[in-house]
Amino acid sequence: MKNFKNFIIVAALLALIFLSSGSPNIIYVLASINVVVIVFNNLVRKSIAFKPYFLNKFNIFSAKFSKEFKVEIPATLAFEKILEVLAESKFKTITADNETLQILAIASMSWKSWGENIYFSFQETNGSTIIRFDSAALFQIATWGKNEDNYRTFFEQLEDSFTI
Amino acid sequence: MPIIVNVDVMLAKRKMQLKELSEKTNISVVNLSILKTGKAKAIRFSTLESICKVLECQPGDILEYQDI
Repeated sequence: MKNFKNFIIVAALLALIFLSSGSPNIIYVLASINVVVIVFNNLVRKSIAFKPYFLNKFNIFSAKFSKEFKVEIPATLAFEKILEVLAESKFKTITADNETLQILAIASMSWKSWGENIYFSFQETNGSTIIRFDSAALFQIATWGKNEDNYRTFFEQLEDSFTI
Repeated sequence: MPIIVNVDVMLAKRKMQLKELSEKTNISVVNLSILKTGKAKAIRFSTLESICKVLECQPGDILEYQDI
């Protein structure tokens, strides 16, 4: 499992806290911290400025998945194409900056996860574009394949959209 | 690819802009640009029909096979 190391880190942290504390109130403290982080993440999730926060490798409470793929069209066209595909997908576009070529979309909550933030960035090379797809869970150390499902679903729709 | 898409040639003949074709065919400018540059994976008969209808031409005027 890709997020296995996150489980180990969280389990080790919890064990350390319980062993060093000895007080039963520590459970309430930990629960409160969880609530605060969930609320904070919900408040900042729609801001593209918090992309580094959600995608940071040290943010172990946000399971991540990244993939790069190439399309044989210029970056500006690829940007518009992604927006078009997003409009017809289950994801909701939140921010689309055509100057920096950055897109933020969100996947809604499901029984598997609290929802994910999906980021697209574009890099043009010799007329073709490398698109980077990042999917980060709102507050979860594992998404049980939801991040990968997001990629698969989106990529299939993108492939189909090249049949005009 | 040996299949050449001549939408831009027909547009020039009809003195029409891509945006105008997009509005008349209900095909997005993005999709028409992809088609025009030969980057589309496939073309639907319905797409071909609407382009031919607006540009008053035959499918052969839009698509051309070149043995490379």
